[in-house]
Amino acid sequence: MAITAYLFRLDAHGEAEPPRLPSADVLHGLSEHLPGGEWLCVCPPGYCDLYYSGDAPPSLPNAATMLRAAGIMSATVAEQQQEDGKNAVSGFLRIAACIADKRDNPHNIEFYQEAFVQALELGFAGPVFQNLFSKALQLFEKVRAETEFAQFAVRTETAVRELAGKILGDLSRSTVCVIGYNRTADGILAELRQAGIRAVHIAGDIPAATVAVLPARTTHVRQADALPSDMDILLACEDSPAVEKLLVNRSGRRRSTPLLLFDLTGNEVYCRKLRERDDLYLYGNADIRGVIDYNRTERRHTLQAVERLIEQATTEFYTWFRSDQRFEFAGMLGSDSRMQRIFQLVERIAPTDITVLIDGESGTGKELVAKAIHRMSTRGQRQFYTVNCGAIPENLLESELFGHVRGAFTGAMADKQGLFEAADNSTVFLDEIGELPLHLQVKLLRFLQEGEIRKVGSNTTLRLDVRVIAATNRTLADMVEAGLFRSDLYYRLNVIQITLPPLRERRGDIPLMAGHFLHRFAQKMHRDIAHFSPEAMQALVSYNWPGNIRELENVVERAVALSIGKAVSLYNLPEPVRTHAPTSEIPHLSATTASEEYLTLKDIEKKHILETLESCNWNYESASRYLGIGRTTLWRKLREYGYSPE
Amino acid sequence: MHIVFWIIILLYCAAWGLYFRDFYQRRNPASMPSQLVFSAALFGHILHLGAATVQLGRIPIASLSETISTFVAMTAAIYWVQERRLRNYSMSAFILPVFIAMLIVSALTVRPTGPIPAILHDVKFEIHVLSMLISYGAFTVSFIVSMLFLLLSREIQQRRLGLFYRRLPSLPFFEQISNASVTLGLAFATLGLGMGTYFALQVWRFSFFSDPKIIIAFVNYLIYLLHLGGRELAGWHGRRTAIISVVGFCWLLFSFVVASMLFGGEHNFL
Repeated sequence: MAITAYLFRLDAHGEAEPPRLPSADVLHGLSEHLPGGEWLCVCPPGYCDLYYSGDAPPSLPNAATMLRAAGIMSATVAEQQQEDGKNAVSGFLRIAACIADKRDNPHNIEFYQEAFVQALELGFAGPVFQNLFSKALQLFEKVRAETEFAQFAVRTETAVRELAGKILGDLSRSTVCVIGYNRTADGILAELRQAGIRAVHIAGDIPAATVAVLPARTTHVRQADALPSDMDILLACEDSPAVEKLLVNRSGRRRSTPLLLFDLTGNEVYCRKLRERDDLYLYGNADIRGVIDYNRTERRHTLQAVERLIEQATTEFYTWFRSDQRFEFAGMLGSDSRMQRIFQLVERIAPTDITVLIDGESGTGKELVAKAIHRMSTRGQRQFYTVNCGAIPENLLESELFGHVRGAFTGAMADKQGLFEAADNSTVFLDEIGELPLHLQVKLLRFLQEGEIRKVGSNTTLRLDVRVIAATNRTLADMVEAGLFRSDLYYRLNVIQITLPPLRERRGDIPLMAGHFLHRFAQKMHRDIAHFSPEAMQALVSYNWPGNIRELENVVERAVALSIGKAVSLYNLPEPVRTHAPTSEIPHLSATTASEEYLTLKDIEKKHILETLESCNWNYESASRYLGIGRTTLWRKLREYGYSPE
Repeated sequence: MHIVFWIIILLYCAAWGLYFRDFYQRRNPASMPSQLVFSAALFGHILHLGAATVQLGRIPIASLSETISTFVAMTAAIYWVQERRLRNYSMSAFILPVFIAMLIVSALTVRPTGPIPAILHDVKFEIHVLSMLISYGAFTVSFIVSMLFLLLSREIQQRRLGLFYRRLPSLPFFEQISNASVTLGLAFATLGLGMGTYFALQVWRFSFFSDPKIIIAFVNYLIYLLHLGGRELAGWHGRRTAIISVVGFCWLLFSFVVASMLFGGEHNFL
């Protein structure tokens, strides 16, 4: 797993383009070229940045071609750069947190946030970029709180604002006039408005559409002569005789105030023409550049502290990125792409009150997912209630879930609070929901729709706020068809369905989980066992795991208890695992029939690939491992056969 | 007592060193050690003056040495309060050396050993001297901030940003402090000169006008009056008022030290 950054600086044409967020269709187009990994594409003005985290990073020319093919990058590239590993991470943090020396656009953090949220919603960004972006946000705030770095004005707009502040002090009592109008003046005005400037007067020909949407405290006059002479700042964008007239008018006033004149004509007209005066501070473009250079030089004093923060954030992220923690999510482990998608989904739905249906074979971790949803929700501080619908006798279940009143049935000596009532403002996890009797299904449906329950034997209803998460190891759709489960309840529960894959379909996670359990049990039993022998690990990976993660956990616990040396050997594993032939699970060509003897090599390859995929339940990762080819190759081959991978 | 006085001067020196380091490293607010050492120096100085007052049975303003020390302590106290009120510590690096220089002059000046004139025990006379000292303190602060104003203004106007641009606050900030100091100084100078005139009329009749130092003090008063009138009536500001403040302080130095040594007259307590 690698992380790579592809940074493209666009030419002047590109710089003129407004910042944009590529559409979802465009990004889907790009995703076809970037399979099997997470990626993020950000387009701040004048740049196009692509970040990829996965096993098959494209080359720099390929990345450029992809971005062009997807229609994201149309301008010619003035400069391109590829960074890998820690450099890519540090580059991301610098640019996103607006602390890159050459790319200090203060809006980068917003561009990156927009692109990240979009990529997360579309499923292109996952935990890697989630963590990386959250590090960038933290860094952005830390640099501003702990260092002076961001206080240095290194852009024309901020340099002008700083100068104006030094000369005029509080800008809320200052007036700014503009003669002519250009983009620089527009940027400066925006910055001065942010500083609370009192009034803005613009003279000159500006489009009627712009005049119509002029911000508050801004007036437009056609002739520069009509500008008030009591201005404090003058932005002169064109050579106008009105400037000198205004200065003469000002000198005739009894109470003169300093004037800050910015010569934005580009050829320093006023800097050459006007005489030095006590109350006139005259700055041309070159002088503002001088201020920026001065500030850049001064800013270097703060770099040591900033570099320390960047280094700290980079190391923290990279340590996480290179460790198994990357695959951990709320107590669950999973490097498999399906599990990563589930983790993302859980994170997104947890804060809502949406009902969730979790299905998967026994032992796949359904309850852990439910607990994660509860913990990450606003109800997380409250107790989490679990009930196994199959474990409670049918005649007691209603009373357990909804409670009863005294005398409701024989033996009901007192009022009893049901599980739903106890779980008010919290979450109830209904395990094995498929075992719920039909008459209780009606009652549950009513609660899900109306938020009300009625205790057994009671005539009054009780309004409750309970989030329901249900789980089943059976296929509820089949049960609905067979009439064993109410279809209306099924659809009501199935607002969000999370299907947990069985362990045999995510064999790549077995070493990770086995290692995790080994470490845990070794600590618990005070054993100095560090790893599995290669044969033992091979057996673990090859075994079918009908009991899934729960079975793996038990097997590792047993192995740790039985092992003598520093490693768990094959003989510490239970017989079914040990005797499982490592190759038996690997898909193989089925016996060739007579007619197939004349197949071409290409046909055999196609047949083999499809069969392998079939036996791996179309899990690309497992299939590509068995086939001994990369996932990108597998995808390419499938496209050749006319299959379009999702 | 003399050793203690030198220790106080050393404390002021240490505070200046720390404040200068803060200024150079652009630390605002200043670091805790700088503030603590300056506070300790000022506290020690006030205690020292308090002890002298108790020991002498009068406010120590009978000699040039005593007067300078009292003057510095009062100016430093006014500045100390202002520093905390305005939360800007960048001026300390420039004000403290002035205090230190004056205290060294005070320490090196010969102290009188004989009896002092009886008039110095009169409360009304003490009010005259203290008022004049407060006004001179305020004029000193105005001089220093006006100098900083001129330095910063020159840097900005000549578009050659350097040491002061990033480290000093805005020009109006200095202007406000300078104007406020001049107003305060004028108020106390009016009181001081009024009391002085009353005394002079009582003690020397009309002959006091022949005392060059009194004339110098009145000229000084007129300069600062010009500062106040110019900005209130004619709208003067910026460089013009800053220059008046600098000129006024130079005149003040002349009247306070040079005139005491060059001219004789009634107005002599050395």
